[in-house]
Amino acid sequence: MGNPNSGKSSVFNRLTGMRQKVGNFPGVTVDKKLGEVQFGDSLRVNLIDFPGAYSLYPTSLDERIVVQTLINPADPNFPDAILYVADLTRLDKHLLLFTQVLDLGLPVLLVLNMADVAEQDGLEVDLAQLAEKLNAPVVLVSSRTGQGFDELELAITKMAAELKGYQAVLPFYDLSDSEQAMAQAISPLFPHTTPYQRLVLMHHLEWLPFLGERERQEASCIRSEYPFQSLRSQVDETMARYDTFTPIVRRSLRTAKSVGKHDLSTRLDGVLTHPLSGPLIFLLLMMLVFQAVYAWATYPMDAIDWVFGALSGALKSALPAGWFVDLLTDGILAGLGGIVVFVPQIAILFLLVSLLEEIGYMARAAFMFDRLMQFFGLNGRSIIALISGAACAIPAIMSARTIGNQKERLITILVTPFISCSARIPVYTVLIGFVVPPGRVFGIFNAQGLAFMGLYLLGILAALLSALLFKYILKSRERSFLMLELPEYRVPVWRNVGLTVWEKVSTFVWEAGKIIMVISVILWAMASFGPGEAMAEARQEASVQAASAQLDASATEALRSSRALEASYAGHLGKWIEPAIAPLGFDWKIGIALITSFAAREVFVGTMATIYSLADGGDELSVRERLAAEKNPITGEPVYNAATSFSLLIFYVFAMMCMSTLAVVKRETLSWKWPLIQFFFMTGLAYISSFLAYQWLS
Amino acid sequence: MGTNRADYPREQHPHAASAYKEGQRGQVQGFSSDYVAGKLIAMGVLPGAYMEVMRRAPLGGGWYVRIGSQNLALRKDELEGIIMREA
Repeated sequence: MGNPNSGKSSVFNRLTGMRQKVGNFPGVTVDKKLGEVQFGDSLRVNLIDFPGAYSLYPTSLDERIVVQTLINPADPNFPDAILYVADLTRLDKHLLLFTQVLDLGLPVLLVLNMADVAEQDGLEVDLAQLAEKLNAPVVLVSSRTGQGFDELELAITKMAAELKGYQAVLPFYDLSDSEQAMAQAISPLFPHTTPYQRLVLMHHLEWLPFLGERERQEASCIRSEYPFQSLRSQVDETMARYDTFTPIVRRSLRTAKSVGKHDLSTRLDGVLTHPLSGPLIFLLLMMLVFQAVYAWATYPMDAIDWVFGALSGALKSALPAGWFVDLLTDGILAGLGGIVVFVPQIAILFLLVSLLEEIGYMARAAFMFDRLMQFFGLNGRSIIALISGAACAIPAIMSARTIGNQKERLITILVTPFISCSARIPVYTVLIGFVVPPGRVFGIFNAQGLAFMGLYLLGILAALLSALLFKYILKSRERSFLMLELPEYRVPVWRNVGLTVWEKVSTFVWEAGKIIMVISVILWAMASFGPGEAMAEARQEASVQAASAQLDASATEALRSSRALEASYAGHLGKWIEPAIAPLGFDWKIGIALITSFAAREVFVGTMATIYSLADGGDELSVRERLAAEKNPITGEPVYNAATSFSLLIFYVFAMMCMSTLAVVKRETLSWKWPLIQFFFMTGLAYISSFLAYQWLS
Repeated sequence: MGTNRADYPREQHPHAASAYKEGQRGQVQGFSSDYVAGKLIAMGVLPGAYMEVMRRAPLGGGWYVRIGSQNLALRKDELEGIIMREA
């Protein structure tokens, strides 16, 4: 553990490498990174990367995790010993939490990181003196160059051999008389604890989740007998600790004054956070990120599509036809493809985002846009998620983890899918032609292009306004903070970037992938089976019809699958929901497409091609031509008039039509509650807006 | 101890850091809000540290300040909790 920006995770990454797993601390979405490390022959250690914290007085959920784990020996994550990572160049600020942890009675090993930077700065440290005065072993390392890691392993091995010997004998902070008396009075309630441990308990009685109601009440009863003021006592304790360790740090460090590097960061910030050039550079960077996720990812995505297509084709020709091979290809392989196809986008986004994070730029972005986002109940960091949502909501929602405040994070997750993602583009392309005739506005702007932009703006508007709505609906006791450190700019450590990408990709594939798989198989079953022999009969009929109309082989096959789909459960469901979607101007065929495109929006085009029995599988152009020719059997009017098309467009802007996004939201919020709320909120909004649009236009 | 008691947390202290303009420097004397104090002290902002307001966020609301050797982004109400004296 250690302070934020101490290089704690960097040290963890060096020690564990690829042998790390990501989970959650029980009940919350605070990342728990776990790594098993083998030291020498006999020592096997489980390392946990705790969230960064400044002290045992938490102001965020992340910090609370640290406190509640460290003062509860019954916690499954309660450590045997602690590696405390501090930035050597900022040791005067990084020892507060260290001395607190020592007083908890835990064996602590102090790891001084950034040895390479300190060397450049001409900073020298007297390790022996530091170790003696702090009463803990000290190791000097650089997580960037790997210097000192052999010594660190040695120290860990030595420490593990006799943990008891490393517990502090004398407390670093002497409790005030009344604190001492209170800690004494409370000790029967919490046996086997140090006085300082009990003091921390008293500070946090109200929220500590492991306390029983009776314990809480008895303890707070005792507390009320003493003149105890939590904030005051906290400030006094903190100041006293600084007073103790500041002289120790000063005596152990010899510094040759050098301020050159700091000047560089300050000068860079003169441009990068400048009122004018700051936001401009940010927008340019984001455009680059967007471009990368959107354009670079198409090549691997096309390749993945091709591989899965070829695989499914090969399976179909190698195995005898039947429902089993269909399940294998159209259900399981399609689901698998639907998972893997997102991997390039996720990888590219997190490559760039974690790069910006490593460099130290993200803190600046959060600083610049904090006010704007604050207005909508979001956080400065939300802007990254919202912008990357224009490529794909899935990595965007995963990137919201960097938002510390849980309410702001939740709102970001809830509204990000409103931003039009790349999967909506094929749908927009097919339909826009029915609403907006080609031509130019003011002689320069392409009218359809403008409509395209309008749809994007509509999505952005919906995202921001719903954020505003959620801001007032959702309650939070957590106080919102900016108080953000703007760390010096650093050259990124590629190992950290690589591990982040790896971690995000594997989390998506394993966690969200399971859900996507299940839904994909369900959708397949609905489209492939019908009640009784209905589908077989429909195929039969279609063959007879095709024969009498003298259709060629591929047209016959197309007609057969179209009729079969109509007779399937999906077709029945489409007809069943027709009364509900008729006020929006949709018929049952659109209904089927709505159901199947829940797998992913772009499936809409493919389903339309099947329903209208397009022989070639249907590209966007041929689907559009076919749709234009579709007539209402009763009135003889075109089905895809401006009103229906516009209504359908609006529906796709707002509706939550993506099972993968829902799966990710479930994984990120740890319950089905929020994805369900999100689904009904977005789809409800889509329904109402489409209804209004259709009724108004028709 | 340079910290004042939280007797007047909501009204602005005459020497609050929020009154400082860009480029203005001063010394942190204490805190008028224990809440702000708790978090800032933990981050290493101690009474006696020199503080300079570097610049305002492009869209307002936040300030980029340099306290001692570290750069921080603070909101206006967070700056309000810091009491300054002329350096």
